[in-house]
Amino acid sequence: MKKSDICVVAFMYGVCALFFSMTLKLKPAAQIYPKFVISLLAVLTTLYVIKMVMDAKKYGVQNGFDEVFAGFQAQQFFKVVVMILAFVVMLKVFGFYIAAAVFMLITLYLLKVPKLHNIIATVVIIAIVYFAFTEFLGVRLPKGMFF
Amino acid sequence: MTEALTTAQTLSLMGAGFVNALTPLNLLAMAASVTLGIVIGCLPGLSAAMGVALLLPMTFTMEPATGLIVLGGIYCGAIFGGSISAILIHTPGTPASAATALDGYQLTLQGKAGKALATACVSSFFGGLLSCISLYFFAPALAKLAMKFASPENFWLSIFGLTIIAGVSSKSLLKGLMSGALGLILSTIGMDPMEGVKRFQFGQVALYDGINTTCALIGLFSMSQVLILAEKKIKERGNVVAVKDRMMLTWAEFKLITPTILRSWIIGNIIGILPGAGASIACFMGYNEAYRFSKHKEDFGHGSIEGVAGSEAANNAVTGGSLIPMLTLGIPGESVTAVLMGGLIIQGLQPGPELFTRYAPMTYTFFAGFVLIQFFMLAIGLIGSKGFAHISRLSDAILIPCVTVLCVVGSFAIRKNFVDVVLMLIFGMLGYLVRKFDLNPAAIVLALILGPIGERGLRRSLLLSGGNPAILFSTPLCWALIILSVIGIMSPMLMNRLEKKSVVPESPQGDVDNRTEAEVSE
Repeated sequence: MKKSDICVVAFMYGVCALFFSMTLKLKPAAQIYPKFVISLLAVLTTLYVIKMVMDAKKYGVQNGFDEVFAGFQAQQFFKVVVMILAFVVMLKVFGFYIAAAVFMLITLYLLKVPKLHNIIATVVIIAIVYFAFTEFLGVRLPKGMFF
Repeated sequence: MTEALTTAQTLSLMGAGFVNALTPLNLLAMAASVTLGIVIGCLPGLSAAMGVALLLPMTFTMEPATGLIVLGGIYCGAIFGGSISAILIHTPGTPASAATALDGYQLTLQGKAGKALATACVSSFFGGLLSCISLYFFAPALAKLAMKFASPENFWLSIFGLTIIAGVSSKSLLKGLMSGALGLILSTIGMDPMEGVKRFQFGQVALYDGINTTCALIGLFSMSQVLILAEKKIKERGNVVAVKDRMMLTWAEFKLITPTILRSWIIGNIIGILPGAGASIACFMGYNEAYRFSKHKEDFGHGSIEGVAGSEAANNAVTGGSLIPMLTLGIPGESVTAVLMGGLIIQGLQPGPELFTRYAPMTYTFFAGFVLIQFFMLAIGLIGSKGFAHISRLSDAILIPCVTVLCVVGSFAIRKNFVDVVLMLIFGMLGYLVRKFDLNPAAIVLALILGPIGERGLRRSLLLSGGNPAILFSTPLCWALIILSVIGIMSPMLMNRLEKKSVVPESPQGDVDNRTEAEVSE
């Protein structure tokens, strides 16, 4: 048994509990199918718990997290995640093209991409999006509050 | 045109398909999509499923046949593209080319990179082309059978689809089934199809029609890949070895690899039709059989063109075969076909018999396009492989923000809705965690697609029988599907045997610099 699997089991039971509580607010006829699939997940998760307990008895308890997150570059990962979230927020404020350019330039800088490659990649990706989505497909991308 | 088609009608549709597929727009779509597919395939950070998911929104405004041709082109191109980096930098672009690296890179070290690339290109072409035969002949027959399906059969069909993908593509059967069940719960979000009441919408009007499948696909396959790349140390890729020899095969070499190509075609085709097995298994089986039948066994692991041909013909032969269960029964056997099914749904089409009756002209245009795609793959591969090799060295540091921008644009473009972007990010994070903890993203996606079909099948059946569940066991087809579902659950054992059987001779270069665990599991 791996300790990391406890997270999986907790997540699955959490989903079951959340959806079950919402199901109870539906009218009775509409409750049947959601209850069926929630029960399915709960039963499968319980079977997995039983398997985990049996494995623990047989092979002992292993950490598992060191395997799941082997070679995890925390700083780099969270920098990218923050930049992605900032990009989505910037989309609403500044519009797609400005937000995308800022996101690309800063993220590539944080990932230590040389300046010239950084600028070329930014220009290329924005040109691709412009010609493929705006010109070819006619998609109107977010304009932002100020533009 | 709702009845099954006669042979004459089918032949006329086949001919008309080629006429429709040969329009300038379709030809341009084939050339562009195959090129894009090869670029995606030869980049070791990206996979075929991810590429198809990422470019899915671009097909939204196209004619359905053109949209499907684009997705088919990316699929075939990506499977072939993986061989370029496998041969030139000893890093398979996709798991489907892992076996190609064994002998392909050895040939490169001997100054025969051109020979290896030409072998990969020609074998991929014939593997893909021959796989179209089964697509043309088996798909309509299976669709005819699917016409007999009513509500109870549809319910069991969705169960069968889920058990097979959850069973085969997961490291743990229970985790695969849990992933499927999680997807089923998520598929209940939105309006109840029978009672007309809102379910689990979290106050979001955008969730009225349920979770947008394309956003979920982009999140689970593309955005999650960004996060997987971001957590690993950015590595410099190996240098591309200059291709000094000609990209050409002699007649004697072509004769040597022909039996291997034919064997690998059959292997790849069967593996493709079997839901759950995929190109990554086929390439090793094709390689293994090439080794078993070869008169030059000593060359294997030291630079054998038969080895390259065995692997490449098999993985491309999977493409046509894998479309059969997806198009006829709506059961995608692996991640890429699950994403391709999203491409059908985005066009408002439902996989099944209607594709071969009501929408037959569109389907046969796609089939003809799929045949022509193979010719584009051969031409572009032979002309451009040297150039694509340099693209394969592109750093993950550059891929991370580029793919993110395309994910955001793609998810926004479908409904021009900001909520879809947020939904894509949520599924991206979910996909990342799912892959880290060995759950199965393909099973989640499939449950999102099959969930509503299964729900309608179950509830309509119970409505017809006045709530008596015996209706679910009332026909021989129901029982056949129940038995297939049980086999689906048992199938991991069969797949393990197939993988164990594919014992590969040891390469003097040691292990191939393979993909990350998560990528392979995909």
